[in-house]
Amino acid sequence: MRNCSVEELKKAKEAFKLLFSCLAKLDNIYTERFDLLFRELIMEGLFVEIYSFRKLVEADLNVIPNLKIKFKNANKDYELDALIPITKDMVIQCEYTLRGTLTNEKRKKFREVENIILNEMGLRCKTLVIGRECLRSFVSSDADLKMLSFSELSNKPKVISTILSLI
Amino acid sequence: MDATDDFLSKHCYHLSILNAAKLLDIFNPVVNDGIIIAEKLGKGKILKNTPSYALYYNSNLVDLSIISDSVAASFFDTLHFIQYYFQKNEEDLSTCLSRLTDFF
Repeated sequence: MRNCSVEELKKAKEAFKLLFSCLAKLDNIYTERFDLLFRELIMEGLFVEIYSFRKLVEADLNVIPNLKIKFKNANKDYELDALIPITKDMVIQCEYTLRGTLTNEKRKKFREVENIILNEMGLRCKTLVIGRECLRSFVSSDADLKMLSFSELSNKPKVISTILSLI
Repeated sequence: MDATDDFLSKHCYHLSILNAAKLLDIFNPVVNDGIIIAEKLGKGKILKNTPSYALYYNSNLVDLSIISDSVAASFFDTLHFIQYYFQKNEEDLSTCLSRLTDFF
């Protein structure tokens, strides 16, 4: 973890208290599903997906969240965190992650999805990674990728300029 | 017709998926794990599994206003810590939650 100021840590703790209140609210609505929801939201990253999705929508982007693409000519399915149709012949795949590194396996998957969307659908595809600031050095070394940090997602001009830089 | 509509109509993707109001009409109040929306997408197919679509759109269920811009970085660092903690400690949920509650 990066070093947080006392004030930041205090705010984060406050946010988490509210997050747990939020989960308790879900528990009231979907009684027996709390453990499943907690696992999905925290462990499997759904909370990050929801946050990022809503921020992208607030930036007036049309976002298709959480989709799985199957292609006849591919031997496996591709699960994407989000897909943003951006122009008539171009889409952007989004990857949300809390991890501090970007593995070669993940980069390979990005290329596979880009190629298969181009070959099968005739659409150019670029990749946007949304993550923590500590991921930036791993993304900036790859000319084909762009990144937005979670903080930057609230900055609409920054979101738009980053998207435009991919086109 | 804008680029999005063009994309969606071209690939027969149902526009209501992007429409929060319609989506909630369909799935609210019960979120059904069994629902799968399948639409053909060119030669391929998009499958949308929907355990949590209401969570994406319904700000009453997951209220993100608690995460202000200034706290976002710390919040997600801490979220990563919690995720890591749960992955490393294969305790039952209640024990982990108890520990986390103590921590926070």
